[in-house]
Amino acid sequence: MVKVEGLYYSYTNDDKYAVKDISFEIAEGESFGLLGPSGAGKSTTQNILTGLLPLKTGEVQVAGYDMHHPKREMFNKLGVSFEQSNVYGKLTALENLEFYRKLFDVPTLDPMELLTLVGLEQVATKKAATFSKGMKHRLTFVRSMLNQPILWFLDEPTTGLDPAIASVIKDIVKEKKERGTTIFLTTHNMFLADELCDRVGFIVDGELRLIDSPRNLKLKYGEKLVEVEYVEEAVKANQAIAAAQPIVSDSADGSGTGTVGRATIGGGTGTGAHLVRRHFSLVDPVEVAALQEVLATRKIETMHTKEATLEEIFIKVTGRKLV
Amino acid sequence: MKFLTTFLKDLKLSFRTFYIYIEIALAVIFILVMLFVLPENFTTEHDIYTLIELEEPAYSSVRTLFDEGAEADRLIYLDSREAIENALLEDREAAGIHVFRSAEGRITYDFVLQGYESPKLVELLKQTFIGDLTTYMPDYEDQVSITTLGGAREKLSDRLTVLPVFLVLNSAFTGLFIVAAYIFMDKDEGTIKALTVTPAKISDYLLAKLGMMLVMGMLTSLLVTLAIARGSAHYGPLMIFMAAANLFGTAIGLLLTSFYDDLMKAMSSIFVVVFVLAFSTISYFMPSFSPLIIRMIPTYPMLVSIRELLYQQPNLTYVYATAGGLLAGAALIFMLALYRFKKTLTV
Repeated sequence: MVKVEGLYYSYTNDDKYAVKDISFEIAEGESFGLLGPSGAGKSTTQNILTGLLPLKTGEVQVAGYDMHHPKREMFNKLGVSFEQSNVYGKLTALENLEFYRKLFDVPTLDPMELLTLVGLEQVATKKAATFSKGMKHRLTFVRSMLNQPILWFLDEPTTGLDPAIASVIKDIVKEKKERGTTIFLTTHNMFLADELCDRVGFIVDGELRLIDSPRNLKLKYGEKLVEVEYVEEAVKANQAIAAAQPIVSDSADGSGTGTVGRATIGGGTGTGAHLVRRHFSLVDPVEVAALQEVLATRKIETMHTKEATLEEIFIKVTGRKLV
Repeated sequence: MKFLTTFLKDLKLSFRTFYIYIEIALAVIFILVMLFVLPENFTTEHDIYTLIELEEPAYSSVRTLFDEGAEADRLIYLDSREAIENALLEDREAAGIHVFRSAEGRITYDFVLQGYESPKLVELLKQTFIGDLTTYMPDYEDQVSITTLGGAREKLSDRLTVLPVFLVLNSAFTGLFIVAAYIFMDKDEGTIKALTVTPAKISDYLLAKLGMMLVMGMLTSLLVTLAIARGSAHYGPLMIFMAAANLFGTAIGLLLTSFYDDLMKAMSSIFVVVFVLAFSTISYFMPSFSPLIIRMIPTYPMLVSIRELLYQQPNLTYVYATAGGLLAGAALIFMLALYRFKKTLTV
């Protein structure tokens, strides 16, 4: 559905590239996330793929169209949801959608049904200028669904939305994905990418550092952890704190000296005992032995397996934070 | 179809923004000022305060001479020199004349002026008066004839003479000002970007803007012309001409906006263009000053063409030739604007 080879782009027409030598492919029906911090080159890449920026160097094919010679009719197959809401403030929500649907040459979805989908049916006849930021964002989002795109570009689709609405948006994306829509997601929200994407690409400073599925990345780069809460006698509590080791870093420089996984002491039990929460690595033999000892000698309150997040892996791989 | 959809949307948007109401309000204000504040002809009659201190029958002869020759000017007879001077202090546009018999027994005509009149005007006044007196001499024959190279044209009222200026600067160039405002609003809201990722062409978008401005321009042109010129305009050719002029003005507006991201940055360029275009009104009102450089400004033939269409016998060849030129210019400028927009918006 999307094929990118050796893509370079410079806004200043010199060697200061916003994206450098980017290559990737997205199969039909696949959900692909381009992840990176602000200014990494995500939007530049998406803008080239959607024709908003001219293709200068490299080869790009989108939905069968060569982006060196894009055609207007290709937009019958594409949907683009922008990060910044861009609707006509002087038109009502319904008028906005009615106007855009008439621009397509393919069957379109009913605007009222789309507004209902994102909870805007009550304000369908109100001017968009009176909407909150979140409402405008939802209107921008459903507008991109009008033509039932086979390739759907989503730029930060849940940014700035309250959790309930963000959940609705995610559910809609998941449903479209299940129905075979190819999705190109650009975001710095790793949880969203983890939830929605079959594969993700990490982009930093205009370079695509890595592409893989979230599961493979976690298997490859994430440590398997177990979080255990157990009751510790008062005397032993201090020893437990001292024994707890930092396991996975959340430090800005990725040096591995953070504090995630350090053991903490809960409230007293009234008998001199304390609740201890501790992380154990399942790949470090020392940690495994310590876990076995805890399991054998302490009263276990809770125990969960825990894996590294995509964000933690991103930091580990790129040495950069996402924000 | 996409052009029509975009055009109807733009028309709807235009009636929900205040720019279009500014345009209509300007037209209404112009009509009200022209009809109720300014006279049909701006040339006012100048009062001439007159004192004739002569005995009969000389008094009656001079009085008859004045009454017959005064034409448009108003003569007000006073009874003392002091009264003339006081009247001139009250009315700074007036002049006075004191006729008396000199010590040598001759009839003397003493003009009493304000002091701001140029020596040329004073001399002209003097010679005109002498000339008028000469015509009363026995056996006088007028041997002077006048030939005009431009042909004798009917004289339009001052109100009608001003009308083309409004039609050019307000109705024809509506687009230059307002299309910029609408496009910058689209850029600011990001809707132009959203439109770029639909199958609609940029040419549809720009043509819709042209169409919207055309409707507005035609509406205000018709409104103002009906109110000011009533039955004396040739409405068919006038509407055709105004359409060409409006398309030309809007095309310039589109081209200008293609270079800027917001209205503030574009204002200086718009101001310069409007200032240059307005220059032609100088030659329009003062035909004696019409250098080629000013006649080459497109607004000059526009003004002249619209004035032609207010005459009973208009020179339609000139009008249609000018309209053709404006349409060709509009097409060329539109293509340039389209190229610029494609380059900056891509796809």
